[in-house]
Order: sequence, then structure tokens, then C-alpha cells
Amino acid sequence: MVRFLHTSDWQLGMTRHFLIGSEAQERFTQDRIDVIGTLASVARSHDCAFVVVAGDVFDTNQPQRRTLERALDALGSFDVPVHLLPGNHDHQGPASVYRSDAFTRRCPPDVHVLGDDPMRPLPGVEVVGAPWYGRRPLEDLVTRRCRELTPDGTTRVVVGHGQVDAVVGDHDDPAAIRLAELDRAVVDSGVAYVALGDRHSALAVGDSGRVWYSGAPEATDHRDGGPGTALVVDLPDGMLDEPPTVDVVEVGRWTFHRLERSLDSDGDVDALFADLDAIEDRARAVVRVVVEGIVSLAQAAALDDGLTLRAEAFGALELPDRHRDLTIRPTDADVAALPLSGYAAVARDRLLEQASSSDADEAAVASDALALLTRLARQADA
Amino acid sequence: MRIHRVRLQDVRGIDACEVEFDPRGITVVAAPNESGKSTLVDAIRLVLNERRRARATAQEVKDLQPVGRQVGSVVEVELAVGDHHLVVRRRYNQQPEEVLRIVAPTSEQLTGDEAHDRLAEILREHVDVGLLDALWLQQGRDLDALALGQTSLSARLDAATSGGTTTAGSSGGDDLLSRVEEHHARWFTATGREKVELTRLDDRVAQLRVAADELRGRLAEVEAESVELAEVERTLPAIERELAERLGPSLESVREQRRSLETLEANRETLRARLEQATTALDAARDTLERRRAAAEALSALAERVATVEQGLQPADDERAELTERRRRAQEAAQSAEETLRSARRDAELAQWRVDLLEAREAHAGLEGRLARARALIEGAGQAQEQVDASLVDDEVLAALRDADASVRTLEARVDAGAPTVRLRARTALAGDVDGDAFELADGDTLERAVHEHLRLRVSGLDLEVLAGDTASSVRDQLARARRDLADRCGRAGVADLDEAERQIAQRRIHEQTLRQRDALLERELEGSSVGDLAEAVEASRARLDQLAARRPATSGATPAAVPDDTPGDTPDGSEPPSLAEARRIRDERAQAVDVADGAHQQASSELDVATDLIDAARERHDEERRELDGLRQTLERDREQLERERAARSDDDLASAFTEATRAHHDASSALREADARLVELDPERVDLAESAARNAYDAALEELARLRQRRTELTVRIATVGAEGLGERLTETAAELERAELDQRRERQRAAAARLLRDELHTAREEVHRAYRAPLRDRIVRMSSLLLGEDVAIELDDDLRIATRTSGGATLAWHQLSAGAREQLAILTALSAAQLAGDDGVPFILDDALGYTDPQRMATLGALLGRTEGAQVIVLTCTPERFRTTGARTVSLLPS
Repeated sequence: MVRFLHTSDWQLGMTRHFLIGSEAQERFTQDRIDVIGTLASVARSHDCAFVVVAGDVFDTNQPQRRTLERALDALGSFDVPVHLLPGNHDHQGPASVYRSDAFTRRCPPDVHVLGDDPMRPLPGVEVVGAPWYGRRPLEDLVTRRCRELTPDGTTRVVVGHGQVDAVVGDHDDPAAIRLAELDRAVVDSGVAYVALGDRHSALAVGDSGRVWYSGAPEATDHRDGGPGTALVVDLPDGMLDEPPTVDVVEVGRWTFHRLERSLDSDGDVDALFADLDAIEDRARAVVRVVVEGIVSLAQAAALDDGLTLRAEAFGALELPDRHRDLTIRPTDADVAALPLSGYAAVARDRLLEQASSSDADEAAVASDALALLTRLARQADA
Repeated sequence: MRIHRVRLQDVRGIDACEVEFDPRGITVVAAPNESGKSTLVDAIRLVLNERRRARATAQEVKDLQPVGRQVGSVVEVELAVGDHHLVVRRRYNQQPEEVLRIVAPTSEQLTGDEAHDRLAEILREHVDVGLLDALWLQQGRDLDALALGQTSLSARLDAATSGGTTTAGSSGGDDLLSRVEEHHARWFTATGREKVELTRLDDRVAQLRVAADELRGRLAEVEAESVELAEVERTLPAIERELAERLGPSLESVREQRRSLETLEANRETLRARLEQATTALDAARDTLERRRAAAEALSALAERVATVEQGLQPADDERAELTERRRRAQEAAQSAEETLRSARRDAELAQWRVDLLEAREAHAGLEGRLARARALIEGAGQAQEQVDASLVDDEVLAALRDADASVRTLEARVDAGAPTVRLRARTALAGDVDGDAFELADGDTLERAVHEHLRLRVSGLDLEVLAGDTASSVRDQLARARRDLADRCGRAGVADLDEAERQIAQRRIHEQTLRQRDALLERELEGSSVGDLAEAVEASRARLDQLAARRPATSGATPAAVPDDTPGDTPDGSEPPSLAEARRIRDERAQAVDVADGAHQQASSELDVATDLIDAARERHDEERRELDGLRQTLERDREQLERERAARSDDDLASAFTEATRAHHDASSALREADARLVELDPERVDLAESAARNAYDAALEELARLRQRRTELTVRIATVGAEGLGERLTETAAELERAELDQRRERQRAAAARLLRDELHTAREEVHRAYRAPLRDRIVRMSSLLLGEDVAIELDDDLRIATRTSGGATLAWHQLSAGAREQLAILTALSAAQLAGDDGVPFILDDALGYTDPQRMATLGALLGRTEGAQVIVLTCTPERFRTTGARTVSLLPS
């Protein structure tokens, strides 16, 4: 039995706009380096014989020096051979990070970049890479690589990167991996396992049980959800008919949450706050609040205040764009809350009118102005 | 709005009190100084401000509580608003409650929030809440401050609007508008321009965009270079292979061909040199042979020519002799012609002389004739002249005579006309005389006589004398004078009467005619000259004639007596001299003979010239031919010797065989070269050249490309490595994220700024509108009240803050600060009263605090008088000295602490 760790899409060097300007960015960056150490621990604890990283180790072929250094340090924590596959973000073109002096000089001895030649981490076992050599290959690299192989008793793990047509529903991309053809090629060529990267969440592709996306070790986007995963794969000895055993291991700490809510009452606003408060490890949670509905001035103010109050606690709290998503309709209670007289009352009434305008922009500015008026009038009372 | 009644219970220092107000007049509320007055006012305000319950602060409410007692304070106000009559009661602090009891138009009772809302609704419906609030603020201010205009209605409106505290001391400094302005100023300058807080976000977005674009551009470069490097690395080995396997061998093969071609060309060059030598040798042999033949031919031609020239010399001598003979004959002919010509000329001269002589004679005879005729004419004219000179009657005399005669006849006629007439008709035959003239008359005859001076008629038995009048007598005198004059004139002219004078004048005319005819004839003969001149001309003519006759030329010897000759007129032989016409004919004939002789002579002379020239030419030609012949003979001899010498050196046969040999050698060399050329053509040097050049170019180009690509590979590798170390990709990701964040910040900040701006603008707009709406009504109201209360017509202007800017009275316009304190006071009270009337459908109460008192009795009197005339307005005066308002006729109530 051969056991190895399948991971991908480390995307080192990535920056997220929603983290800009906060200490969370540094936490995020550090956690994404640290998770490599976690992967090394998982490999160790699961007794994995080697590790394959199925593409996009780096977010770009031109990472900053510090990113590269930290990545190489982290790679040094593995006890077993590690095979890196150049993906679309870090393809093996002439300008590849893997060809740079900075990488080659400090690359740990048991870390290998997969090229055209297969690697043999164990006797009778080959790791066959389908590396990217440019940003836009014009063919399905993975299937072609599989087709080049002939069954000869060797246990082969093919490492590839890219989107699978059936998964993304794109059948026009020439580089997309054709699932049907891949499945056939896997059978024809006696491939034991196809380790795929590119998709940031774990997924078994097709029915063979031999083709898997490992998912990224740390989530980076709301699409990913999280937490990040890696796969511990067991290949049965010489039993090609028997599918591999795949264990999905959670390794990431960051979570991404998208709270979509329809706000129509004070209760809805409170419920939203309750949901936010229920999120664990908020320092590593990125939350996007998307709201819609019709609210009063008071509710809008409560929403603003509540979100502003909580924002600091989260890794990132992406506030809703009130102008876009919410319709503010001042109520009698809102008016009562602004007991103004004289021309201030005239101005207030005009703003109320504008806030109900069909012109969304005008309405938005007017409701902002009303909220401001409310606040300033209240300050006067205080 | 009218306040009818207020009841207080346990409010501050007041245990219980109830005050009723005059709803349409002045109510003077007497209260101790600094005590209940403000309590009353504060309580009313607190109750009526219920619509702003939220703002009734705990402190205000707490202030109502009596000191040291935990009891609820009750305030009850009864008032009329529009057609509503209602009572509001509120209890504060302990067991608070609110009750609204509506008495009219329909009875109704409400409590709590409902009460509050209903009251607010009724007030809003009938009262300008903003203005009311503003007035409440002013209530209780002392008149001095009011008069100084320190707090404008506008400022109070602002304060009321902003929710500034309603206490009397509040200022507008921290009102809503200034807070809004403060907020707005975070993003905008006073003039509305965006501040750096706003624009720096734009700048940051722009900077980040530029940075991101630059990074993207550089990454695209790296990507392009990376693609190029991959291509270079793929291409390099292919070119190396191409060079080694194809281009190199191909070039070598072509070079081999080139070498054999060069050998062949060297061989051909040798053959070509040999042919050139053979050609030269052949040309030399041919030349020698031909020169020998030409020399022999030239020699025989020369000999022939010598013979020809020798034969041509004899005819030349014959020709010369013939020409000499011809010249001699021409000479003789010329001499003869010359003689003939000379003789003809002499004959012609003689004939001419004869013509001249005859013509001179004819002219002379003409002149003599004319002279004789002229003399005869002059002589004949003498008689006629004498007769003309003898006659005394000329035209002038005749005219005078005619005039005199006419006068006589005229006067006679007048005498006849002016004289009476005597007519005698005979009844019977009778006889008698008149002035002696006898007459006889038959019966019925009539005798008539004019009576000039007198008339005497005598018949039988009658002697009648008739006398004419004086007038007739004067005419008769004139007649007599005229007759005498006529007679005198005739006498002087030597004639008897006019008839004779007429006859003499006719005779004279005839003589004068004769004289004129003679003058004309004489003129013709004299031709403008005088008779003397003519006589001289005759003499001169005679002299010429004699001269001519003396100059007779000699006769020609050649033609003696060929024509009638001799001098005319005096020929010695007495023969008849020829006529002039004949002489002229002879002369013309002889002139022709001269012309003929002259022509013959000229012809003979030219014949002589021709003959002479021919002889000269023939002689010259002959000499030339001789000299030529001598030269030819010498040349012939020399050439012959030369040829013989050459033949002795090399015979003609020798030369011929040498030429044959040279011809053969040339033919051989030529054939050899042709063969070599044919071989070269077979190999095609041009093709070999082209092939070599092509192979060489291909090889060089490939080498160059190889070098270029290797160089490029190095360049690209270095560049990519260098740029790769900069971490562009990650920097782009970072920058893009920062940009996205900056755009979000920018959007949010701009939204906040837009809200602040909108709020500020709306507040300003509304404020200006409200103030504008107040200005005209307030001004009109002040003017009306001024007229009503003070009886003076004034015009006032309000400024933007609703303050009185100017007052115009009696034509004089004064600014506010120029007005007297009293005038300002009055106007301030009028303004406040006016505002109070504007504040509601039916006005609102005007509350005046007299706290500080008016010490000036005059001003007090004026104020009292003023307030006393506010018909229909509700005025509440709070004072501690109510007696001062007695003159107003107001209701006075007392508010005394318990």
C-alpha cells in the first residue's frame, strides 16, 4: 500500500482587498505559511510516503522575495519528498519562479518540481506531472499525459492542474480537462490516481474514485467556504481494480461567510447580528454581509451602528453597500424621532421626499442625509 | 391662539394660583420681583411645548418641583386655538399624567400620547410653530435688549428650529445649522470646494490605478519576453541541426564544382593567348605581301602617267598660236570702231548747234512782235482817255442832279395837291379864259382848274378871281428854291438839264469800256513787265543770236555734206536754210548714229580683252604641265630603284609562301580555343556562381540567426531573472487589492460627503425660503401697526436676518442705529407684536417682561399708550409695578406666592 498526501493551490503571495489596512492581512499571510507546517505534520502523522502539490504553489510567477523565502522555509519542514507541479499561476515558462536563482539555490533537497520526466519516490511508484508551460495551454494536458503511459505494473500517480469541463460546465476552453476522456485514459493507461489542483475545495471528480481535487489548505474566497483541506490517499498494492481510499483532512483555520439577509423588521436586523455573533474564531473569519429589503431610517441606523460595532472583531467584515442593496423608507416614527420645527422641518420633509424618490442614487443620498440629520439633532439633545 | 387661563399647583414657590387673561387685550400680571413671573411663563411654555415632549429635559421638569417637597407639580392651561377651545393639564415629577380636554367644537377628552399627539396636531394646524418657538424664546427678554436689536428674529428662528434650549439665555452658537456646517466642513471649504480629505482619496485611487497599470504593463512585458524565450529555445537546436546537416555539405559540394571550373578557365586562357600570337603573325605576313604587290602596281601606274603627260604637251602649243591670231583681229576691229564713233559725234554736235540757232531766232522774232503791239496799244488808248477826262458829269454829279430834280417834282406835286380847285359847269355854251388861257364850253361841259396862288376866270359877264391860302404859298417858295438849285447844278455840270447829263454819262461809259479793253490787251503782251523791260529783252535776244552764230562747229570729215548743212539765214551759198523741225529731225538721227557707233566700239573692246585673257591662261597652264612632267619622271626613277633593291633582298615567292604558313597556324589555334569554350559552356559558370552564392548566403544567414538567437537567449534570460526578482506579480496583486480597497473607501467617503452637502444645502435653502416668506408680511404688519398705533406713516426695510434695517418717516430715512432709543424701543415692540400676530391664524399672545422696570416716565407713558391701542391682540405684561400700566386700562391680576 502506498500512502501519500495530496494538496494544491497554496497560492502564496496572495493579497485580499478586504484585508487591506488591517492587521488581519498579516495574520492571513502567516496562517497560509503556517498551514504548510500543518500539512507536514499531517503527512508525518499519517505516515505518508510523499507529498504532491497539484499546482499554484505560488499565486504568481513573480512573487516577492520574502514570500519565496518563507515558502522555502516552510517546505523544509516536510520529512518526505515533496513534488511541486507548476500550475497556471506558477507555470514552468522561461520566467517561472521555479527557474529563478532564488528558488533553485535554496530549494530543499527533497523538494522536486515536476517536469516531463516521472519521479520515483518509491520503488515501483511513479509520480507523473502534467506541468503547465504557459498561461494558456491549447490542450488537455492531464489527459494527454495519461495517454502517454502504458500499463507496466508501475503504480502511477498523475499530478495535474486545471478545470474539469464537467465541473465548471465549460466545454469550450481548450485547456479544460475532458472528464470523459480522462476517465478512459486512466483505465487504458492503468493510472492509479489523478491528483488535481485549481479548485479550492475538495471534490471527487467523476465516478472512478481515482480523480480528485484536494482543495486549498486555506480558504481564500467566499466561494471556497472553508476551512481548507488536504487529502490523504491510500493506493492499494497492485490492485488496480480497487479504487484508492481518500481521507479529506481539514487543515485550514480561516473561514469565509456570506450572510445574505432580507431585512424588513427590527427583528431581522437583530437576527443578522445574532448570526454574526455566532461565528467562531472571528479573527479568522471573513464575512460578507449582503442585505436587501426596505427599512426605516431607524433600522438603517441600527444596522450601520451594529455592523460598525462588530467590524473590528472579524478578520474582515465586508459591509453592505446600503446605497445598492437597501431601500430606506422613512416612517412616521422616523419623523417623530426628528421633532424639528421651522425651516429645519421644511428641510427634513424635503429630504424625506427625496428619500422616497424613484431615483435610487438621489434616494440613497437623501436617506444618508436624513440619518446624518437624526444624528446631529440627537447630539443637540444630549 | 389665545390663553384664557393658567392654573399652577405646587410649581416652584407657588402652592396654588390661577390667573385669567384677557384674550383680546392687555393683562398685567403683578408679581414680586424675580419670583413668579418666570415660573408662570416657563410653565406655559413647557405645557405647550408638549409636541416636543422628548426635549423637555429632566432638568427643566425637575425645576418645576417646589423646593424640599416630593409632590407632583400641576400646570393647567386653558386656551383657544382656531375654533378649538381646550384645556391642557399636566402633572410632572410625581405621578405624571397628561390630559387634554377639548371643550369645543366637540367635546373630547384624551390622555397620554393621544393627548400629546392631538394637541400637537391642533397647534400645527393653526399656529406657525417655528415662529411661535422663536417668540417663546424672546418672551421675557427685557425691552432694552429687545430695543437694541441684539437678537434678531432670524436668530431666534434658527435657535427654535435647531432645538436650541428654549431658555431665555440660549444663543444660536451650537444650533443645528452650525453643527451641520461643522460636519460639512470636514469635506468642503466654506465656498463649497472639496477639501483635501476628499480629494486625497481620489488621488490615492488614481495613484494606485497608475501603479497597477504600470505593474500590469511590466508583467505583460515579462510574459511576452518569456514567450519569446521559449520560442528562442525551441528554435536554436533546429538551426544548429540545419547548419550541420544540410547547409554545410551543400556549400562544400558547390565549392568543388567551382574549383574544376577554375582549372578549365586557366587552360582556355593559354589557348586564347596562342591564337592571339598566330593572328598577329598572319597579319604581318599579309601586310608584307600586300605592300610588295602594291609597290609593283604603283610603279607601272606611274610609268603610264608619265607617258600620258608627254602626249598632252603638243596640243597645248597649237592652241596658243590660235589664240594670238584671234587677239590681233580683235585689236583691228576695235580701232575701226573708235574712228567711226568719233565722226558720228562731230556730226551730232553740228546738228545740235543748228537746232539751237533756229530756236534762238524764233524766240527773238516773238519778242519783237510783242514790243511793237504793246507800243501801238499804248498809243491808241490816248483819245479815249481825253474824252473821259473832258466830261464834267460823272456818276456823283448825276446822282446830285437826279436828287435835285426829284425835289422839284415832289414840290410840284405838293403844290398841285394843296391848291383849291375851281370847277365850272356850263349851262349853256360859253367861252372865257382862265389866267388868260381862253376856253370854250358846250352845255354840260366842265372846266376844272387848281388854284395855286390865285386864279382869274373870266367869262362873259363874270370876272372871278380866286386866291389860294398861305400854306400853298410856302410850298411854292420851296418849289422855286428847288428849281433854282436844279438850274445851278446843271449849269455847273455844263449841261442844260438832267436829260443831257444822262446822255453825257452814257457816252463816258463807252469810253471807259474801250480803255479797259486796251489795258487787258497790253497786259497780255507785256506779261507782267513794262514796255522798257520788253525792249531790253529784245536787245538781249539779239546779242545771244549773234553769239550763237559765231560759234559754228566744224563739219565731220567722215560724213561730208551728208545732210543739208550751212548756217541758216546767212548761208554763203544762199540755199534755203532748213526749217526748225527739219533741223531737229536731223539732230535726233545723228544722236542715234552716235549710240550705234558707241555700242560697236564697246563690243570690239571686250572681244579684245577676252582674247588677251585666253592667251595668258593658256600660257600659264602649259608651263605647269611641263613642271609636273619633270617631277613624275624623277619619282618614277626613284621608285623603280627601290623595288629592285627589295626584290633582291626577298623575292616575291618567298613572301607568298610565308603567308600560306601563317594562315595554317592561325587556323589551328582558333580550333583549339573553340573546343575549350565549348567545354566551359557545358560546365555553365553562371550556374555554379549562383549556386555557390545561394549556398553561401543560406549558410551565413543561418549562422547569423544562430548568433542572434544565442544573444537574445542570454538577454532574455538575464532580463527575466532580473525582473523576476522584483516580485512584480505579487506586487500587482497587492496593488490591485489596495486599489479595490481605496475605491471602496472613496465611494463610502463620497457618500458621506454627499449626504453632508445635501443636508447643508437643504437647510440653507429652507432657511432662506422661510426668512424670505416672513419678510414681506412682517414688514407690512409692522408698517400697518405703526400707522394704527402711532398714527404715523412710516416705511421700513428688513434685512436678511429680519432685523429692521432702515426706517423712513416724514421723508427721512434712518438706519436702525441712527434711531433714538425710544424709536428703537417702539419699533422693537411693534416688531414683536407683529410677529405674534403672524404666528397664528389669530395671532399668538405677546408676553412682555417688565422685570427691570422702566424708570423713564415718558417712555413708560409711551409704552403704555402703545400697548393700550393693540386692538384685538392678546398682550400679557409681567411686572412688579403694575401701577405703571394703569393708563392702559388693562385687567390686572396678581400672582403671589403662597
